[in-house]
Amino acid sequence: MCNYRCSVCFPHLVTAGHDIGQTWFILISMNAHINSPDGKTQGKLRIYFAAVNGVGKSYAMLNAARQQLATGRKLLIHLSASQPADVLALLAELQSNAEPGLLHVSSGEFELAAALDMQPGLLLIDELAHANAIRGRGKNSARWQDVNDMLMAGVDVYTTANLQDLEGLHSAVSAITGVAVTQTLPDSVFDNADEVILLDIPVDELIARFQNGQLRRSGDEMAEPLYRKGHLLALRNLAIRRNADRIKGEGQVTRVQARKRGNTDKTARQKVEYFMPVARVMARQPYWRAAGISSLAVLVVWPWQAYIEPANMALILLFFVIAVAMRLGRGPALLSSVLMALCFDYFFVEPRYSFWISDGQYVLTMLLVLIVGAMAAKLIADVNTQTRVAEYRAVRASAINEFARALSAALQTEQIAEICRNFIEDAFHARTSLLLPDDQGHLQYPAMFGPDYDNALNMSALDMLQAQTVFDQAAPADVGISEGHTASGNSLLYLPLIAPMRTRGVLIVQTDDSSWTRIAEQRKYLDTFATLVAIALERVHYVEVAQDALVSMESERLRNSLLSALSHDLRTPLTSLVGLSETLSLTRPALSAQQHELAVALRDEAMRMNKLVNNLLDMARIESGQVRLNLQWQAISELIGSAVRACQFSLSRHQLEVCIDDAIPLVRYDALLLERVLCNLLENAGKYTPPGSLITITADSRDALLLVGVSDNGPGLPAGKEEAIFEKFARGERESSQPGMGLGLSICRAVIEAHGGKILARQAIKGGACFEFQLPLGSPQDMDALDEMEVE
Amino acid sequence: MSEPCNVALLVEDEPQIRRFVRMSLEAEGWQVFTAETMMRGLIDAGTRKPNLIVLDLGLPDGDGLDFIRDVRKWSQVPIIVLSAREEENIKVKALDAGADDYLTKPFGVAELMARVRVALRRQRPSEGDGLIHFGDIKIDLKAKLVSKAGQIVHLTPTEYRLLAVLAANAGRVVSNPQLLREVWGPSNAENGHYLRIFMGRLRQKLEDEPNLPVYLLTETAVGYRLLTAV
Repeated sequence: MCNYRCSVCFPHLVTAGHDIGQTWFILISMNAHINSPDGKTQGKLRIYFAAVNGVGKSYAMLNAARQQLATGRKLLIHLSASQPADVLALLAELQSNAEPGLLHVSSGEFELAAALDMQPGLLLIDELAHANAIRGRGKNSARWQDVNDMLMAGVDVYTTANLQDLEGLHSAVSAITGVAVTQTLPDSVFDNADEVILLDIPVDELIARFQNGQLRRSGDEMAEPLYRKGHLLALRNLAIRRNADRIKGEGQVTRVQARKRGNTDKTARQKVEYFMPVARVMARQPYWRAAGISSLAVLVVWPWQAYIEPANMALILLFFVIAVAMRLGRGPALLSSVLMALCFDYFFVEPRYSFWISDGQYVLTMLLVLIVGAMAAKLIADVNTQTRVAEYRAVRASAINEFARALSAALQTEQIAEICRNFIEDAFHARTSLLLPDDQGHLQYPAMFGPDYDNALNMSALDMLQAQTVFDQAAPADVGISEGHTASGNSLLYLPLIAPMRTRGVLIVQTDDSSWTRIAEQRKYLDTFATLVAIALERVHYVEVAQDALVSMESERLRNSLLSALSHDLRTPLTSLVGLSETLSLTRPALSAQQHELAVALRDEAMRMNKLVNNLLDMARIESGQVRLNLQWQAISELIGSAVRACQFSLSRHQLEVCIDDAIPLVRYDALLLERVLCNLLENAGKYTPPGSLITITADSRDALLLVGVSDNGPGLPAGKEEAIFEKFARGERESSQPGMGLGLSICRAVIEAHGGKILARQAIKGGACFEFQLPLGSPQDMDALDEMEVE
Repeated sequence: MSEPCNVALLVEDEPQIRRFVRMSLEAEGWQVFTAETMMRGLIDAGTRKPNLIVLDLGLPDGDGLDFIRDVRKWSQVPIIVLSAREEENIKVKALDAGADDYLTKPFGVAELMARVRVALRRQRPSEGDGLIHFGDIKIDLKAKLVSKAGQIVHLTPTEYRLLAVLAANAGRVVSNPQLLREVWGPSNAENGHYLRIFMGRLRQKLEDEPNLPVYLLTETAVGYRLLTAV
């Protein structure tokens, strides 16, 4: 049904586009037509739909009327008062061409009762959203209700509507343009229309028309804000999307691309008509040959008739019939058997040279020649067909085989696209385009490359939209294949590429002849190609995933070995420095006091350098994501004990207070990294407070959190920098004389956050700085097992 | 302490580290042989019959763990390994393979010599009175009695076993897996949390300041050490 209707409707559209001299993109969507429950046929509603006025809806509608007039339907045209010149000209042309009584034109307010009385076959009425001015008993308040009544009466209606007319969208349109909309149309009218023809012209052209004053009618001055480029683009987008929503249900969509066309088409058509008789003769040639062979056969056997029994003669003629059947097929064989039967009767059966048969036997012979000839013709035709089918299938199977083999060698998506293009062109004489989604699932315009640039399909925004719809709906395998037509009769086929894991893209196939895509066998063949492409795409996808994994593994290994090489190279001279300076201080005979002091200073500085190197390497490790937490259930008191011991040198001139809640359960953490955190905090406290200051370490558990704090009674943190000091290379004081790079605290934060905890700094209550970190406690260990072990 | 005929083998590829370790050992009266590669080290270990091996784990020509396993096949000579800070699991593996102790780079001479002394003491077991003293704590291994400042300290059997293992290796690090094996049995080598809890209890009973222990020390991520000579 769909295709039939298309072919009916699109020629007018083409003409319309031509007359306006512009390119139209038209999207038609249709609903399956439903008859009313009482069995009475309802009229069909077609809406010419556009984003704004000025696209040429009325013109397109009238153009359709031209064709309908030619079919002899009774037409009623109702247009609002002010119309642009081209519409009026077309209307005048229609009126002058129409046969009397077939065309009625009215304007002003629509009179429903009068229209119903007139019983037109088709009503053309613009502005579906119009609100009726005359109200009263039995009168509808809105035009769409009048239209509904007309439809119920069995009248087909063509009408026009704008995007802003739709009730569900008028607020959106107002928001975009700032133009208030007063007359609206229920969305259901739009959604239930049998056909919606979306008209679209380039925005720049529309603006030009508006500026030329072509669109100025009464009331349109108000609409000036509509005709701004940004607004128009938005409205146009909205219109296309709204129409796409409409077709998401069971509706069928047909894509029409009407293009401006020159006279070349007309001459081409004339040429075809001129050649038709010749072509017909050529097509019938086998019949002439069959007749010729039959005559020849009669001539050949003619001299022998004295020696051959008529019955045998019949067999010889039958032999020729079968020969014809084998060579020329069914029709010629039938012709030949009829001719042979007649010739047999005329030339070889007494009385000769007459169709009269004296011996009844020969009637039977003649009939047998006819029947056997017909049967042979059928048999041979069948065999021929089957042979052709078998050959065709063999070709197809080997093509699929070749295709699969070519695809299996493809390592890149571009290769697949190229293989696909080449093979489908060979197998179907069709042009293809492979659309692939990006990471967000939006299809991308096909990449244009190589010598096929000119051959590639020219994808419009509508094509992309259609393809996206097919892609999105591909989940159930039987949905999503939709056909479209271009004005030149080309057919576009959208095939979702459904691979085992997900849909991998959309294959668009364009052929010059649309009929073949409807042959089930061809379609199956094409589907097989699509499936192969989908699987190849998926395979390439996973190859890429595997390669990425390999690359990241390799780079991780490289980073690791780089870090350990760095660590080794930095630490080796430090170890030598520490060891050598210590050896120096222990040499015998003993050094002088001053020399000894120097040696010790040397050692201390080397140790400090070591701490910096440790921090740098830790940071590098954390930054490169190489830290794997070695999580174990640990006792926090043990951690504090070992951290204090590790820092005893830095804290030797400070007082230390440790306060740990005995009730803290074991906590899971990486002991080495957390010791690093605590050491950094303690060393900071030692570094930034004067000797003799008190450093307090507290550990507590609260609300399923372990809280560990390090506070001091020193000068405290610079105000407002509580957060900033955790940044890399941030120091408490810019011009501090204290050594360090400001890495310690950022390492602390990175480690604590890796454990799912938090670290923060604040001023202590009694002055001084306080650093506190929190770790989640996790589920406590089952201690019963331990207690049991104690029972001996 | 120094003995005239002590022979040490130092396997280390860095000349400066080699130099100061050698000087430190020689100052204590050792005769030191050095090897730059693992291959050379293995040959020297066989021919020089050293009383001590100091082994760098980061040798360019092979895995130090293989060296330890190789030597352990035929000799109980004390082995002290040198390693970097991050390589905690390698330290544990080295200890499990038979190394006696480890030093983290950079290390001081005093630290090195302390480790050497402990390692040698293990070679020559104490006089056999079964008594270990540290601070005001006394452990009588024969009577299985532990006293602190003259008072008997009551230990549970597990606590006592843990203390006994550490005491038997006094001064030396004992790795977590080894402690778990020896105290709880081979099937408990993964249950590190037992150690944390029982070590906590031991510290409560023996240390003056359990949170800042001076005898029962934690070697983070490696094991524990009972320090008898503070």
